[in-house]
Amino acid sequence: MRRAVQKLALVAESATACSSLHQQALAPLCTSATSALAQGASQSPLCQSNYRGRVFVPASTRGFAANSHDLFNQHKDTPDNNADNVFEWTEANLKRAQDIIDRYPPNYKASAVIPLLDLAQQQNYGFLSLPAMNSVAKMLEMTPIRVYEVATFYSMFNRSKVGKYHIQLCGTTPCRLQGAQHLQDTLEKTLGIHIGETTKDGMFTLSEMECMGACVNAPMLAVADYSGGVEGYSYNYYEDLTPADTVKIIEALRKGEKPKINSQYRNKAEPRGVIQDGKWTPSEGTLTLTTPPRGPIVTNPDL
Amino acid sequence: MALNMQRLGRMLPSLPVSRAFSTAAGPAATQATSPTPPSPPPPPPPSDTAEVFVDGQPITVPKSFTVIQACDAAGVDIPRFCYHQRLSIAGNCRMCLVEVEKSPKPVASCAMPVMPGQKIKTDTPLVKKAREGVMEFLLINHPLDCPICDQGGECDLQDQAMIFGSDKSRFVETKRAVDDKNLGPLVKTVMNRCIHCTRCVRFSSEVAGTEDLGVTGRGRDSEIGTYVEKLMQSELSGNVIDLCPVGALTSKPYAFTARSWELKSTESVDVSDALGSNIKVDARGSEVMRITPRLNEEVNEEWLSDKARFQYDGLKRQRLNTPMVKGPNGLQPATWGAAFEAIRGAMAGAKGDEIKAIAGKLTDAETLVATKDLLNRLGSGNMKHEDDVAAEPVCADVRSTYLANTTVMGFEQADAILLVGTNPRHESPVFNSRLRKAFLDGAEIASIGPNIDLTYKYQHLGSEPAALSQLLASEHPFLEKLKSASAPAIVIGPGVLRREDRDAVMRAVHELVDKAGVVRPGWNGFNVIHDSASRVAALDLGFVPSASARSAPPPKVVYLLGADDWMDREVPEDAFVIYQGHHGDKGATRANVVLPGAAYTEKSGLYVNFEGRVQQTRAAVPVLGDAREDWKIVRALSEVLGARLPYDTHSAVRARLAEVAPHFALINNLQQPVWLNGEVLQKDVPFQSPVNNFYMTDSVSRASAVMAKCILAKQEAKN
Amino acid sequence: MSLRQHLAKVIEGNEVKDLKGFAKWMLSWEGVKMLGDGNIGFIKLIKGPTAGTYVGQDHYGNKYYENNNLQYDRKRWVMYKDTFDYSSSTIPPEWHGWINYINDYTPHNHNFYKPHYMLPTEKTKTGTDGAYQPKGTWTTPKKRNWVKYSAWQPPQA
Repeated sequence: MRRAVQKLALVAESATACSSLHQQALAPLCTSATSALAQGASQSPLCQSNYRGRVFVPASTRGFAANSHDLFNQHKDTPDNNADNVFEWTEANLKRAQDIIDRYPPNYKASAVIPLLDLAQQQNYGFLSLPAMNSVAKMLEMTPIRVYEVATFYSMFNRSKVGKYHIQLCGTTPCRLQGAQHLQDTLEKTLGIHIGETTKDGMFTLSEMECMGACVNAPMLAVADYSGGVEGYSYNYYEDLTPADTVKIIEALRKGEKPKINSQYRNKAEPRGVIQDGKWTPSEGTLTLTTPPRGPIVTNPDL
Repeated sequence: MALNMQRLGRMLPSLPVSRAFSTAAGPAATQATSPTPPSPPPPPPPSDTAEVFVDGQPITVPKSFTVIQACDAAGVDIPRFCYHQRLSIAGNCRMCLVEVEKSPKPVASCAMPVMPGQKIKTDTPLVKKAREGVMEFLLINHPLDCPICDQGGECDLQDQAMIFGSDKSRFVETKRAVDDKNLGPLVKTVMNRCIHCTRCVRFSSEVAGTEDLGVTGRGRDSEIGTYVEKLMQSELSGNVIDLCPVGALTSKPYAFTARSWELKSTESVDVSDALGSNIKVDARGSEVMRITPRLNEEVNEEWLSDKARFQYDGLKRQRLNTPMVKGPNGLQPATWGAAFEAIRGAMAGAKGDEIKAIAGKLTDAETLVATKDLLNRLGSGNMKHEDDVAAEPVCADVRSTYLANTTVMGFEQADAILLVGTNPRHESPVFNSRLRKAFLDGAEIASIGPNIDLTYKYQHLGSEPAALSQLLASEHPFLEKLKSASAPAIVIGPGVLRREDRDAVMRAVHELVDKAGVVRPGWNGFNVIHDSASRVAALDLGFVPSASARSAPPPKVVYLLGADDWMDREVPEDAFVIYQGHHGDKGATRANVVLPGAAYTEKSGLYVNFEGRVQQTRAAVPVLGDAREDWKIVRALSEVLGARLPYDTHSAVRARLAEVAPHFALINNLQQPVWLNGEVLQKDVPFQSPVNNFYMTDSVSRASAVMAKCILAKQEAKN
Repeated sequence: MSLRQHLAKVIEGNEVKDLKGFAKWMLSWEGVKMLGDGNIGFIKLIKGPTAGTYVGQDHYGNKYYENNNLQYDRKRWVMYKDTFDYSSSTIPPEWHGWINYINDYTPHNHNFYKPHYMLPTEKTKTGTDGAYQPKGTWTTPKKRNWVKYSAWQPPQA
């Protein structure tokens, strides 16, 4: 009984969390972003409910392209990213790139575009500048637009400058149900930035990602570390997070330490437990799938 | 994948069945008979065909057909947006859904190959509902701005929404908004309207060969664009306007100037290059509002170069609309009578070959023959075409020596092509797309001439004639390629004909032709292409200096037929110059008497393209002011000069044309020339294309503001 | 409703000073026009200010009224400011939805989104000198004498 009540409360809370998240995610994009945040997003002039009670979002507030970091699917010149920037492959990376290209038949060189873009992104401190993409195109004998198409399609390619640590918070349903919104609030408070922004010191960029496949240890976030170039590059998952853990991880990263990766509370599947109300709650027995399975649902009684 | 699909797409044009058979057939089938015009080969053996049932009606189609082509062949219209018979199959609009028996879901007919015995249904409730649903999806993000859209009235989406769509949408959310792209001075974009059929992307990568456009982003955020703002580099970029099924890509110069239903269309022929692309001149009142291509499989398919499409605004600027006579205060407007009197006065002092005529790039065949007759009656044989800049005139005796004997369509069968001194991308962009088509079908292309981007890969053998000698001396493996090819072709550019060592180059080419067997029974791979519309007609009519004229003293009277690019030595300082044309340019500035003629949209005239095809322009708009059709001016002048020409009607001039050169009686047909084989090679003078500036080659395009903008945009793109 | 009450409402709704002003108003050209043009007269003198509750006013001075007891499609109406040249194009977009029963939002109960590129609405220019005329339009000399082509000017010696 107690458990059932807890569950209900959880569902209710995550439901409110979801709706407030929806509004807050939009809030930074509203023209009067700060005031809108202060008043609560429902007061924002851009986020009105229409007559059927649905939240309707004017197109002008659509913030991001494929990922929650790049704003456009077209190139816009910035000081960090324009045709006059220089991108030179390092000696070591050139060799890596050649190794990657050698994996594919010579007439299908273009197949190497994704790994090569990834390499270029690692070397270029986390984002693909125009010259970086052009150099990949040249290396693979592709026309640049074909490379741009790939780079804009995949959300893990960044096309505008990111911080040294790219923090990617999972925002898909299982993590949301387990309190990803609390993590987001904590991160935003700790870092002083919103989704899609970079801290002033250039250390952290906060993004929201779709499911990264660690639902069993929800909520989770991934941190891409671009501070060390290709050699020092890492892409780590931090799972089973409470808001306090998140702050710890951020502080550790800020000091240049290496926080514990993967689940913060368990090793593989043990011990059993769950993040509940922002706390690690060990559990006993089976929590789900406790009732005997239902029979097949028959919609047609004639069958 | 795109390339494979593209070849598949081109192999399967959605044409009536018999036509499709002829395109689907290999080169060997047509070679056995005659290369051109490609006679329809026998229908493929039964094993290559499949019988399918479209709405219960049986039809036999090649097995390579897709369901949509089978339906087209059966005369059943299938709605479509992304499918285009000349582009690869994308299958992303889903509008062509049909029901196929035993298939649980509706199938996209453009991407589904036919199977023997397939039962295709196109009018079932399922199909109707599927189309309605697809249309509803397509309209979700399509703005309702038809009243301010230039595509309104000729829009595929508009038409198909009327026929196949529902009357209402269930979408109440906000439509998306997309940045408009700047693709240069020709193509206007309104990207909100885009339905992502990707026809423009496929066109630019497959037909134009300049991969500028792409789809960036994904899902709802997909955008068509260049990612980095830049000019569309192709000379065929205007064709994306025709391809776009909605109003996302429209013509920038035509924007908001007219509605499609106000326009009166006239079928005509383009004169901006020597290919003679078939065009439709759309006019409203006395104004040419736009020019669009007309389908002609044998010449331009359905493409048109940017110059041909957008130079029409030059027809409104710098026009000659009244006769002028030079007085003490320069050229002054005069009456026709006064102008003719002035000419008669000048002609009185000139005898025989002292009267000279120079034909311009846009002169029609009627005027050429009338001028030739007039000069002959006045005792002069001193006439030439302004493209004939070498000391020795081009020999017009053997027709096959100055024509593209393979024919434009024949190039699709060629499997080894050697370009000599030509830049087809600028000299004839639409012809260049044929060469690209041959390249995509596996033809090996090599070039001796300018080393530039021809939109396809080719071996560059050298920039000078020395490379030709090396090739002849078997020093290059490409000779073997030519020899072993089943359908080799050599293309000689107009730049070669202007060289002083033309005859030597031609001789070398003829040797190469012999050595590599480029001309063989059933196949003639020797081609000369030209860059101006009147060139071939001038040669066909013998508009070349007579034997006596070649050693004649400097002329006293020079009759310029719209010639603006003559060499200075052709027109002596003290000569009396008559300029007959439609634009004030170099010729009119030099002239003593200006006679206003008609531009190609204002008269019916015959032009011969570089494969020898006689085609006619038709008057779309009236002539301006006091101007007259050109042959009429010559005819009237002949009477003043006392050498009356014996034809009073247009048909009589045409009859005279056919008398001089019989193929002029066969308009739109190709008469195959008889092949006959034909001194110091300037080994280190590089081959050059005469077309240095694609956008401005004649008086019309020089007067066009749009073309000037194109040049500016190109320069900016370079900087 | 007595005649006195009715008149009071008409006077208030049309922002006339008092009964004397009303009489003066009725004897002016505007009054003649209202009597002659039944539509505007009916709205301004009979139904307009009296049959419902006042909802609001737009920047043109058009007044909006509502009475939910009336039959469908007659529940909301506008009393135009202009008597002589009243036009439904003077209804601004924020009132458009309300008066056409598309929604229940008016500027008084809803905060409309105003994008930075939004221009103030204008009355239609159809029928006025400001209306768009295509080239060649006979009535407008500038448009009538459009330049069909530019002739070449020979260089002066």
